[in-house]
Amino acid sequence: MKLLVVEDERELREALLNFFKAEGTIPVSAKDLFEAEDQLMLQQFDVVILDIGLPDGSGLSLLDVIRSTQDNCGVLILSAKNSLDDKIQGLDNGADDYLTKPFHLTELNSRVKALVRRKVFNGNSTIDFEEISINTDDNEVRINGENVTLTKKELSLLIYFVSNKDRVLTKESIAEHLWEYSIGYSDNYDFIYTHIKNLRKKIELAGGNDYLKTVHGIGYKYSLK
Amino acid sequence: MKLIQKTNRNFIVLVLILVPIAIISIFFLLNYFIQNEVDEKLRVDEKRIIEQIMSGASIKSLEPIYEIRIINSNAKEGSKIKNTEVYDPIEKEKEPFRELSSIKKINNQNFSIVVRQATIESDDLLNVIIYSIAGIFFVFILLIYFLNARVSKNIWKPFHFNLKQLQDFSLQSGNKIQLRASTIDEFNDLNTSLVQMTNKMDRDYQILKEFTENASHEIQTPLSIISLNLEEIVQDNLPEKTLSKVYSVYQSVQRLSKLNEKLLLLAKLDNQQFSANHSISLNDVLKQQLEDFQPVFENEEITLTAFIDDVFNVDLDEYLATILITNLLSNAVKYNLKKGNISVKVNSQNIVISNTTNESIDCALIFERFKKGSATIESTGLGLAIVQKIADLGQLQISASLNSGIFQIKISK
Repeated sequence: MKLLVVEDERELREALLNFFKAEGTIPVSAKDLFEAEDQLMLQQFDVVILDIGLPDGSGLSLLDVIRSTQDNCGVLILSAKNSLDDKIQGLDNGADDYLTKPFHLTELNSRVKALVRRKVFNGNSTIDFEEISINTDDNEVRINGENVTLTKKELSLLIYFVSNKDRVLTKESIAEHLWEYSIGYSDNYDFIYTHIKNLRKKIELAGGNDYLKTVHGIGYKYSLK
Repeated sequence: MKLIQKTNRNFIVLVLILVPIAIISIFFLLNYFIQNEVDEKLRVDEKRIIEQIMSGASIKSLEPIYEIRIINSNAKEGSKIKNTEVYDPIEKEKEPFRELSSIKKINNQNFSIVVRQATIESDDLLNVIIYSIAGIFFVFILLIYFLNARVSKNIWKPFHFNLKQLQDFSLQSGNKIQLRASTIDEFNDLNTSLVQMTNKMDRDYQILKEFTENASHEIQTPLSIISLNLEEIVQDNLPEKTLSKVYSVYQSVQRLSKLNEKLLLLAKLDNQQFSANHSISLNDVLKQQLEDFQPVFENEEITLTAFIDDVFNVDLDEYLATILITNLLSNAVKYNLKKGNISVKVNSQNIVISNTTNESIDCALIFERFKKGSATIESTGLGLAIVQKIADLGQLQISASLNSGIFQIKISK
């Protein structure tokens, strides 16, 4: 997967580059509109992570350049402004997703992966992890080929875990992933146990293994080891 | 007391003092001048009589206007003038007269000459003066009063209009104050000062509002960097002691982010960055949120009872409506008892969310920013301030009450 990160804050840019390098992608970075346009002219990307507030203008103005230079590229907007106008304008002008700062890397990761599935595999994609197979097109989960019925939240949780396998996922990031408007309820994350308990039960009942490990009161890790 | 009453009252007091003084002075002045005039006429009359006598004409007395007698005694020549009352045979009553009586030696004969002139009685004069002046002043006051009432009504009209504008003026509304011009310079000066003052207030307020919003925005990026790096550190195989310290820092950063997010939302609500132009059903939002809260309720062993009788529609942004409901439900969980209850009642006019609690919540304070209803529960103190702001935007009334362990928040149209 080819990824372009357009972000003016050096530290944030590097954190994103390091993260996606570790994820096995080849990220390219740009610190402003000028550099980003250069990169977009040079090569094709699968996903562009685009910060709106850039020193030489709004990242939104790059959406036109992306449309004219890229064949099939997903755009995820990052914004410090939790502004509905920006969101609507961004999505109207061809962006695919929107994430507000501060965000969790794992959340960004699962969204980028979802974008890749949508763009690169045209939605016809399954995520496989050992005996578990998730079809994100019709939202079907199979364990050893057997259908398992999950609720929307449980499915979203499972995709989040598998997308971020082998990483420690904090309770906070899980709660925010599950809860669209996390601003309202943010003082106690214990409720995610209920979701996780239900998900575990369903997978085990279908004969799947429990790959979810607890990490010292911090959160969870989805991994083989 | 109204200004017009005050000035009218002062005017009347002044008139009440001035009128008697005027009457008394006019009386004495008139008296003095009339007397002078009469005296002069009496002397002229006397002179004419003396001339007649000198020329040898015989003059008969004409009572009571003049009396001429020859006296034989050797009386001294001289004259004196006085007020007197003489019986008038025609009018058949005593009348006041001014009398000049003198003794003159004419052609070696002594004459007693008395010349009189009827005068007005002082009482009559005084009465005439009092009545005429009182009458004039009465008409004068009446005219001034009505004229004042009429004129002041017109003059004060822009003032009252402007007063209403000032009463309705709110910095938060963002509308500039529109004052009506007047024909009175003082009022126009006041208007100019008011407009300048409100403009300055408005500018200061804008700066303050933008400051909050800009500060919140600027904080987002460093918070992101801290949070992202901490998430990376957590991935490493750290000793448990270090890990728990890092996690504690991470949790604090998350809390800071949430706080900042709430402040930003409040700043945006203050800056009117949301418009409430389409109607949505709060029932749908409520149903969705109750579903999302199910694991929270389960975790806290809270029993939910919901009575949804009718559709409660409101003009609100969906995002804000969701935050409104989430904050209320979140509150109902946070201040609840373990194994407590939450009850949600909806009809077309009201939404009532109540919960069991053993906190002593100060209902007067909870909608204020950073005012926490309870000292024991950890909270940012912004949740209900946001609720209040959103309710204001949707033109909803919101009230809270605590009654024998049941805390209740009511939203009504």
